[in-house]
Amino acid sequence: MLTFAEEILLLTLDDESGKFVYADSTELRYALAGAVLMDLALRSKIDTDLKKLYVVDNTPTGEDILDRYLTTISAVSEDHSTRYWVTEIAKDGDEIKDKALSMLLEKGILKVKEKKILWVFETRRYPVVDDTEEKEVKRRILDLLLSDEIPTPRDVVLVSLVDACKLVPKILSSHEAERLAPRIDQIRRLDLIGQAVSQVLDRLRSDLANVMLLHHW
Amino acid sequence: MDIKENRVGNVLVILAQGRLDSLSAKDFEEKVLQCIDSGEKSILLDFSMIDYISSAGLRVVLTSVKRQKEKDGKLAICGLSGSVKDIFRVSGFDTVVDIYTDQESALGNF
Repeated sequence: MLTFAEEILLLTLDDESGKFVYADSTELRYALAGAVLMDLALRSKIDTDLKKLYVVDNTPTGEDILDRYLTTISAVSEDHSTRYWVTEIAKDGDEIKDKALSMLLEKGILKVKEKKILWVFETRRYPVVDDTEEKEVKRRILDLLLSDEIPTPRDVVLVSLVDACKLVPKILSSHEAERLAPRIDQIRRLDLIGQAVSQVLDRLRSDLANVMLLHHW
Repeated sequence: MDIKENRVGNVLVILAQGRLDSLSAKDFEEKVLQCIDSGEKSILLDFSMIDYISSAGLRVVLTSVKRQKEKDGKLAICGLSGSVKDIFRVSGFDTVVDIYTDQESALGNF
């Protein structure tokens, strides 16, 4: 089974070009941080409420990236909110992305393809070798959004992360995405970590808008 | 966590007491899913004695609601108060499960 970070990274990949094009890098960093926390939560390693996130079992999961943050959170004695941990872990977002990428290569889902541009610059692409997982994730999300089915906790996490990265247009047409916005919101709210990721990103977008407004005047 | 069962007419009332978090979620889930799988069509989760619920607890509720809907049964919740009520409100759980103030009003809607 893939980690949420690996699943979300697969969804940001353009199948044609093998480039990661679908997500803004800031949004992706925060979504990957949320993905790590959601994986730890669904493996019953951490738990959360409206005020704090706490460790309930610090035995390793066997997944390097998850165990790294399980150790980090365990080592901090005072309580912090989920938003705090999303922000902290997002600082390592690029590292989490690289690790998730190397795991997708190791698992044989992606391969590396070097390509020269103008015969000089070398660029790296990641064509999909086995698209079963990616198709399955997209199908699950689509089925869920187009029905009134009650989601599983895993479905809730995926929808939260896809929404955080603004990947919905990759799965739905823009008209459908707009029509199904209330359904996406309903599902997204069901998970407190997903809510925290959205709140942090909303705050960042609002701060950015204020800065731009200030410069404009 | 203490879990008691009580039958009122054709409704099975599951009264949970204490904290519904990572430590108790598994036992609670097993209990509720067992009732669903044994064919109980009307289940009321009475949370009036629950003083704390975490994300893990909410996930158990979600899983139970989903399973009961798949079995064409009804599952409702009653008796939320304080921080437990807050977490249900913030998470929008009222959009996936019927929530009633108390047992009496819940039982009248089965």
